[in-house]
Amino acid sequence: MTRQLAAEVLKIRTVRSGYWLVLSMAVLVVLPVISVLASDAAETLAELGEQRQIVRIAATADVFALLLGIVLIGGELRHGTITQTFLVEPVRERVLAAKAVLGAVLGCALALAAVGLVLVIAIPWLAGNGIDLELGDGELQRVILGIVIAGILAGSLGVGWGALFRGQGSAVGAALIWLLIGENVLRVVLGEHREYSPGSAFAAVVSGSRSASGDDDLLGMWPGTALALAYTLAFLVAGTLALSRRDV
Amino acid sequence: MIEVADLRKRYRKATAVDGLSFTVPAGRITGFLGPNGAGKTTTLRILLGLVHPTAGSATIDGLPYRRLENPIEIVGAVLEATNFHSKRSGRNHLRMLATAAGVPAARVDQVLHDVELGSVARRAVGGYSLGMRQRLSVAGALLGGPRLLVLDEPANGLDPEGIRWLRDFLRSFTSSGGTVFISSHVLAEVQQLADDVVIIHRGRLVAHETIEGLTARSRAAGGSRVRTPQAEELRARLEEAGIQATVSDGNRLEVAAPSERVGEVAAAGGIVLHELSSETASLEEAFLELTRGETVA
Repeated sequence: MTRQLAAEVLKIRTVRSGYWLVLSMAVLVVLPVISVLASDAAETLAELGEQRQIVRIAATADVFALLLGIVLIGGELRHGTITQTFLVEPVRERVLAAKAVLGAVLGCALALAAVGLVLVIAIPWLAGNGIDLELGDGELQRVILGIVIAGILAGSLGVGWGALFRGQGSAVGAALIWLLIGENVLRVVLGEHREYSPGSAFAAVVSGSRSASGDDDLLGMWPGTALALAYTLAFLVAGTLALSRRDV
Repeated sequence: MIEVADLRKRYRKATAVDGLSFTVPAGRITGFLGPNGAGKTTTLRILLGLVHPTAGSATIDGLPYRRLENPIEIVGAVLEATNFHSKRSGRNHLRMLATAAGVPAARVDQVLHDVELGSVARRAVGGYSLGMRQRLSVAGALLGGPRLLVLDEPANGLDPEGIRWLRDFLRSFTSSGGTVFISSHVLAEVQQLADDVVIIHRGRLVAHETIEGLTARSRAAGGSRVRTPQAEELRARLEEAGIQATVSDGNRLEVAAPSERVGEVAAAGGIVLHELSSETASLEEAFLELTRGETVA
């Protein structure tokens, strides 16, 4: 398992797709943060709720964690290197387990990097306006913790999701369609139980808490985390079963 | 070393392998032949644990591939030369495999040197020629220092120099005690290289024996060629003995009988022979006979 994990790290380090995802994530975090900071009035920026919303922009990293998880397995399917991987380690469950662990680690790193980017921009910007970012605020801390937890889960979930498909393109395409359309359709179908959809579960993880987010459509942070973990494990099990039974 | 027993693989609409059984002994080169679509690649991929059989088994040293402990130390596989990330360097590709297998990093440079890719090892595989990719595949197969090599159409797309390199390499591998199981449709190449052949057709075994045995058993075999200044006289003598013969070029005969029999008839008639040789069929002739003229491509 340790050897497999080291090999997985080498795989992602020696191609560019991971670096492009990190760069794209950085752009999609930095631009909205600057946009909000530049457009809000000083008194608005001083509000705790607004500061939490600014930090929550870093949750964009969780979408990229999902994509990075998909790339960990999808890239191998796309380029055919999965054959070599399975020749070296024919127990496919071990390969998927190593990828899931790496997905979690990279998801965590992406989330921390995104939060770091937000703070590096927001703290001096606010200070320039005579405002302190309230890092001691418990709700703000829970938002940051939630973004990191969601990143860890999304990275692993991406590996499980990617293993369900035969190629990287179809896995990424299906994930984006799900996020943009499928999730909303499911929420409509679920009606009053819409807080149990996968997207809602992850939104609850980064919400800080039910009361703080003010969103009655979401579970609380910890029930949301438990449900997001359940979805992650379900996709990992389904992906492992699919890949183990597939001819490559 | 390799044992395939009543192997079957059925896809939704087609049967790729249909009750195939054979063994590959250690220390020999065994060619694996069959027309396109005969089931060669499917059989090899089942052997390597990449494809699940519908029934039967394919084992290496008595175990299915998935149950081999650190399999690349037992068997090296050379499959399609396209299983690379084009942006990753050849060396990093091998480092990735070595790391997963627990093979020391120094071994990567050693195998790159062995396949003569040392000078381009740090270049992206996307810039490699087909021959270089094939060598990189061979390098990957050698990483674990296995005693068995399984190769699927390794000569595909190689230029004559590449084919010669491969032939020399496989000979040197077996001369040090290694075992090779190689699928190919370049029959002349297999005839030069292999000790034994396994021929399959429509997923079934049609022949499994030594090259010599197979070519001697062929219908094209068993005849003789004769050069004599008394060609017409010999033809008449042979016909009297009930043996069919045809004269060509005035002094040459093709005779449908073993050379021993032709020699006896000539000696009895006091006929001078300048040349007498037995005809053997080529592997291609034997192959086409066994696969009922199916196109080899």
